[in-house]
Amino acid sequence: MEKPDEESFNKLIVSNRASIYRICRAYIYDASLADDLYQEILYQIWKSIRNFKGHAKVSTWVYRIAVNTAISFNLKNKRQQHEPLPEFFQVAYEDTMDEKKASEAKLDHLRYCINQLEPADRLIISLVLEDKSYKDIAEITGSNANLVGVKINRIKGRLLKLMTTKQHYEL
Amino acid sequence: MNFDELKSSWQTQPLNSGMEINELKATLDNKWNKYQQSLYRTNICMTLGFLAATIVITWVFFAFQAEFGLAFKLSLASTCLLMIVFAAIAWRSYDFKKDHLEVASTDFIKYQLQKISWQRKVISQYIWIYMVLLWLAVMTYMVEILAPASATLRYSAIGITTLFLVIVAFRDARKQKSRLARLDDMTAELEQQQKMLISN
Repeated sequence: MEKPDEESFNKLIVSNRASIYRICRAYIYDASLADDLYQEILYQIWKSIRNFKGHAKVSTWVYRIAVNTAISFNLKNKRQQHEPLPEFFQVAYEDTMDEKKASEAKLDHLRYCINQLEPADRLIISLVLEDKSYKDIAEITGSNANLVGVKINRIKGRLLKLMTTKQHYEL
Repeated sequence: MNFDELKSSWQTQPLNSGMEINELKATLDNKWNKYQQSLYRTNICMTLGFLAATIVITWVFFAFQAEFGLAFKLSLASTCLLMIVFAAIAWRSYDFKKDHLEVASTDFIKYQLQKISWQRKVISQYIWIYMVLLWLAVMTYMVEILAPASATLRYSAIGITTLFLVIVAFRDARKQKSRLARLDDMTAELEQQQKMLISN
């Protein structure tokens, strides 16, 4: 079997690396497992790049591989996953906390709340957070294009509610 | 707090994968080489195994067919059938190793469900067909080969071989329960995800 085209792979990774990483962080709360998933997705893209036929947009192709690898990874690693306390519970809030820490705590709070959603909802919200259109999300996930808007609004509402509830709990 | 604020905060998060691009490429290369080697080994081993078995069975058949009767021929026929069943299972399982990741998630999940259903059938049904055929092949062969021996020796050999196969089957059955439970768990989760992606 021929080795994948390195140049095409580099181009793909340069333009999609950050999005793929964020999808991993949205889908899996544990940072080290998310890191493993990130590498697995890059590996699957590396393996599949020669089979790209151009039937879909490149970005749709990349996101489909990312999302499907996440589904598969979740099944294989389910037993290793646990729900650790989010970092904002572990780090005491202090007046001296600098902006960077506060911003990281906010992000971690968001990751934690996303992690409370159902796996399928986590995948959809990760695509919404990447600014994907409803049409793109329907194409990537295979959801009904007419229903995807309703579904996204429901998930957004649930996420915002979780963010508020957890914040009250935190305070 | 509104959703757009969350989104902009989300998109500004740093990429913190803990791995530089060059290191990553080396890892991918390494993984790729291992993948190719394992693919090559699996194919070569399976092909060589079947080839060797076919040569031996053919040789045994022609060398001894005049000396033995129907049971001998039946045992060879069972062995051939066994190999066909094994080859069919192995190639079907091998085909399922190719994941089609570039399809929409609902189609990917459907494929994964078929894959799990196949694994379930292999564990719960086909393995028993394989065991029965194996037992049949060994028994008919032994009955024929040990025909001139004393009844004690004949029945002892048959009894010990049957006991051995029963122990192997019993050990597999114990493992089977937890493996089936894990497959059922995976099926339930995938079905739930598929339902959530399809419905609103």
